[in-house]
Amino acid sequence: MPPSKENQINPEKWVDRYSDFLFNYTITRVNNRDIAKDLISETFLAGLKSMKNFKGEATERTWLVSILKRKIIDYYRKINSNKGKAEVKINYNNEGDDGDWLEEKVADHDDITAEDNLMNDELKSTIFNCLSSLPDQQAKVFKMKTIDNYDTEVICNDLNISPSNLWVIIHRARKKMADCMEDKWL
Amino acid sequence: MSTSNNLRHSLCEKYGVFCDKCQYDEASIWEKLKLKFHLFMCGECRKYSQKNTQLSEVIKNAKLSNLTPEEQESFKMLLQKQMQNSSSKNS
Repeated sequence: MPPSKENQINPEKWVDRYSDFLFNYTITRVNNRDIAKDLISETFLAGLKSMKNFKGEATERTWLVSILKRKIIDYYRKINSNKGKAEVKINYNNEGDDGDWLEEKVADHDDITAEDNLMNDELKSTIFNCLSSLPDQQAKVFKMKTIDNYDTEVICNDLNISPSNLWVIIHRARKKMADCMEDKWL
Repeated sequence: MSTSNNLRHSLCEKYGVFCDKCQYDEASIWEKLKLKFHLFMCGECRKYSQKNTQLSEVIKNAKLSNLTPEEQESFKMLLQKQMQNSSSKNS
């Protein structure tokens, strides 16, 4: 049976549609921007290679996340096996690196428990689901203003819109986001 | 009746924008004052204002960090290159 329309695969849209979600998913687990980006690159490439295995049973995003999860586990394994080799050489003062132990690499620095992490995953997932239901321009402006904290002026110049136009777009986006997230989070 | 509803709707749109500006700390004092006064009288906008503030809070708590446009562009280039490679292999 051919996949339904929502469950079709379209690699040209992967970056616009899923890269922010995948990045947020990864960064909470590896705590390093560059490693997160590498893992996402690997995920996209592996996705391209195994496109023919996509049966359309899950959404494209769920399918990509399942590939990413395997990549993250491989990464944990790799740093875990390096740990054995470097047991005597732990440098806690090395800035940007938090020690050689798996638990330290993986742990969240704000003492967030596994349960909090799960909640945070769910929250992020809801935010990105709601964002994907907005029209493209509303989603873009909302993201730039709310998540990336760009100045109003910068967004207006970038997208060639007036400030009053920006605020109308933001208002529409916020109303929809609030409605979408109301049941569980507001 | 419908005229007064329309009027109310456009007023709420206007004050909704003031409320949004407050979320980003970009409302002028005058806008803040007008909003406060309006919220005092309008239940609809009070409800929106409450939800809107909670939305800001929840998004802040999610600690989202997005990719820069340059980073996204490099992913796109990578994918494009790979797709071109595999299509030239197939042809």
